[in-house]
Amino acid sequence: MEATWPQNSLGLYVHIPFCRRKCPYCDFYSVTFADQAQLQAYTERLCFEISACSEDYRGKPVDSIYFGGGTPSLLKPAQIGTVINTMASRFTLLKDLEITMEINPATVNRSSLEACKTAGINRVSLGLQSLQDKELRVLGRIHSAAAARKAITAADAAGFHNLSFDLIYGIPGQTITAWMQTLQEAVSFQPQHISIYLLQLESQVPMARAIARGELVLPAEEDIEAMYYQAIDYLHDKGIVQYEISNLALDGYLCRHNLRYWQFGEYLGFGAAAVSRLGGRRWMNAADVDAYMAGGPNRSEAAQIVLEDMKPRQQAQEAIIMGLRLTNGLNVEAFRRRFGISLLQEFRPVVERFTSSGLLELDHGWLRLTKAGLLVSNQVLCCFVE
Amino acid sequence: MSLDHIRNFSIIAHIDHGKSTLADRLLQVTGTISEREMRDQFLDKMDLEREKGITIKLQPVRLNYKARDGKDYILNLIDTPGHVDFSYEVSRSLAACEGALLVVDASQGIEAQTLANVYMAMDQDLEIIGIVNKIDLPGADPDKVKTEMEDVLGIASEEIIPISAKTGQGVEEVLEAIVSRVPCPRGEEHGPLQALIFDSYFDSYQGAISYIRVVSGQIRRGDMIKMMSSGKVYETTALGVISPYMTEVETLGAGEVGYLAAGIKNVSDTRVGDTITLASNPADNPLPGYQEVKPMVYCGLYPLENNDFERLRDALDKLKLNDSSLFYEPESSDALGFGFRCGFLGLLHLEIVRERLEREYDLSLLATAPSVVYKVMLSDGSEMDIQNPKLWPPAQRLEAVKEPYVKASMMVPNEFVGAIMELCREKRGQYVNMEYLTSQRVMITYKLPLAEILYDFFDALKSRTRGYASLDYEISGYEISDLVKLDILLNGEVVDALSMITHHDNAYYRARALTQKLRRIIPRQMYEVVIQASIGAKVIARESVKAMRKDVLAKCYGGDITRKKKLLEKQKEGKKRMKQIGHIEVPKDAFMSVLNIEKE
Repeated sequence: MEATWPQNSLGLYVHIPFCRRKCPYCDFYSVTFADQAQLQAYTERLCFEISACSEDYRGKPVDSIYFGGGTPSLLKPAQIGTVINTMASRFTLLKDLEITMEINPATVNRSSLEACKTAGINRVSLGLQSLQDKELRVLGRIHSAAAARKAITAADAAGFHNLSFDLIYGIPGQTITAWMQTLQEAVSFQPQHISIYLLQLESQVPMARAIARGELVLPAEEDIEAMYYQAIDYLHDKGIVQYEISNLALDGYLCRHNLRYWQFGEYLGFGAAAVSRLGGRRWMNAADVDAYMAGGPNRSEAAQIVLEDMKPRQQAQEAIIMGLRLTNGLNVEAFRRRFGISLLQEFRPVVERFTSSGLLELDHGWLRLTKAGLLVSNQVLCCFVE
Repeated sequence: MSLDHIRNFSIIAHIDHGKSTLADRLLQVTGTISEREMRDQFLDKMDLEREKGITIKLQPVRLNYKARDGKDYILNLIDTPGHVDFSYEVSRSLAACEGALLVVDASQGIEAQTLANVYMAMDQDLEIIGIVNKIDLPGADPDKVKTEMEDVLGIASEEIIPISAKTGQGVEEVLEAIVSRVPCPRGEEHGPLQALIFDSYFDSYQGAISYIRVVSGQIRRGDMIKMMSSGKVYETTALGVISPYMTEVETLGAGEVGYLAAGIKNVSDTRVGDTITLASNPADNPLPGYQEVKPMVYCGLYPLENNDFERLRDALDKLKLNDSSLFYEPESSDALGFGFRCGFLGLLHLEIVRERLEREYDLSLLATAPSVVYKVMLSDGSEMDIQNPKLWPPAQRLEAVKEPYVKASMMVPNEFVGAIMELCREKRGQYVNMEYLTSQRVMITYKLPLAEILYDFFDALKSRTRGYASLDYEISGYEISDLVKLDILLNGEVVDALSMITHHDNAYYRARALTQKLRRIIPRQMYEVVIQASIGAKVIARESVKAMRKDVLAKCYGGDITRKKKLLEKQKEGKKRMKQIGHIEVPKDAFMSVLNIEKE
């Protein structure tokens, strides 16, 4: 697994945990958006956290920034700009760095998007989810299909030429035909990148309970399988090629920030509930806006929880689990150089079992999931867990 | 201490009527344990006993009591188990006593096991002290229950003591009644030693420890003793009483109850029911022993990890030391590899043994469906016992089959008579008789195949009588039945460990219910799994588990890697609870699923 980022560089993630309304399928940390004053205070706190961050990483090269949420597009473009500028004063932002912002179609227009571009955003990830009103209602989204189309046009007009769409399949009531229609229409807007996400529900979210009560019915597994593979084939024909289990892109438009996660790169997260990993340590800021605003013991840092302290072996395992999500898979030799582990020897029984059952393949020194293995990848990945 | 200051007694009761609570209170009132040491179910040492609120092993304890007559008495209490699986333990306890406290719940009245226990006590000529317990509860009707006890059991109602074991009310009266009414032990204090082993267990430091009742003579630490059944001689290394902790004593004399250790490595050398005598001055005859208990239910126990076979053998060896009724021998299954065929007194016993093996010996086990012992007559005139469906002969060699029947006594309020009769008919029961114990309470007796009792009979009985029915049963003999072997196939291969014997009339229904149940519990796999049930070559039911289509983490980014890794770890853990049969992963619970298919 040759890393695709400059050596020793970092990715920076900013979490904006506010939403107009919580979607019934979402289990990410977010709170209902209060008012502009709160967003302003949060932005200031973010800048404080960034400026106060440890000397250890100060000045490190950064090749991607990602504003995720929640709904980052609730921030004013000026606030985004302030955050980026604060980062620029603490880190070495590399030339051509990727700066992505997740956008809820209901929260933007052409002028706000133009302002975002001016603030430094150069990649936009539009949370379309669907282009069918019926499905958007089931998902409890605050935008309509028309609003989604408008947002796409606005982003285009604002001059964004690195556009990604999030689309969801496996929605209660969704048919294969409706899904393919959504895809077809999405492609007609000529995005550079598309993420197709299977709707997966944690048991406690409202939609899961509605399904348990029988009020909503998920598509059959066979239909879900068809939606996934038909989407991949269709997009492939349009030049949008799969590079990860749920991600596809035109050549040259892979999401640099997310690749870092799958290639076991290092990253720092800022904001409530944001996660960071450096070396074997992964930690998280308190998943609570008030606690985050209050800061840590001496206010210098956010209240943090250590999630994992991984030994080298565990780091290698994470690199396998994440790396196999990529359709290129893991380069056996590069992996050995990086982690000192020979995949084919140390995991021989697993590799043999799944290559013979057709879920894994070994091809010119690359170990990867087969196409058939992608949608049942947990069967394979869990066997690499020790 | 002379014999007239000793009283040996048991407590007998239907399950949940308050036996262990009364024992707790007796320990407390006599000052045998302090308030500080007190905890509920004090005599139940095993975690399992405390969790399930039942007594499994009997347990003797010595109470010192100063009676109202001003004299000091030694009261030896032998707590007894309450579940029908362990009724043999009750009989062993009773043989070491002169009296029994019969505890009846003041709101429930007499139940099936109350009767069974009273008859056992009467057979042994014990003095029975009637007690109505739980008189503090709102639903209590002590007078009605007293009348019932007088009418049904012939215990004079004015002699019955009303108590609340929970609050302690009336417990002093019980102690006084033990002193005044239970006969003191009789026995030749200076004769040759005769001591009855009524239980034994294995201690890793002292070897086998026997609970004994000295009937005549005296035993002293250091004495060379002889087991009368085997003639083997040992040196007594420790003698003591339990009050309530093990307390060493120099001697145990006639009438006394205590424990004995003699460096005996094998508990089978301290057979329960055997008589201990002195090697130097042996008694002429042993005491009347016990009937050897025979297992009624068999199942296969297999380690989930194949290389745990030897560990399972060691664990069974050790458990057997404390549980003489446990039977086991190695067997192998095509599907499950090497394991043991184990025999148990009943399903509760099976469950307890399995749980103890898993907890105390850290094993992960798979149990196959329980089976009773069938007597199979072959066309060549020979006969064989079969307790493993795998060994069932092919139909053309079968002449006839007999299966064990029990005589089941069920006690219910009369409005449930119809429900019980219907249930017993469904379970192939034969009506024996019906007796009104009072105007409202009826004792119904049926002959039922033991196999039917094993399969959820008790649950069905409880649910159809809103919990009012109580059950007791004893083996009544073998009868010819139209039985067939039902095989289960997964993707065309017979899984021997899932085979079961069933009555021909129920075969189709069971086959359908079982395949449906397996379809629900076998998770989707990478390939379709076809589940079939067959008699011989004829498939009579079919279901299938479709192939898995999706098992994926759709999103996996920087913020949720830890959580997603945990999901994969959990999934990997889940696989450990599966048994790999061919290419198919079968949850280990599937093998017991035949037990409760009717609940679906």
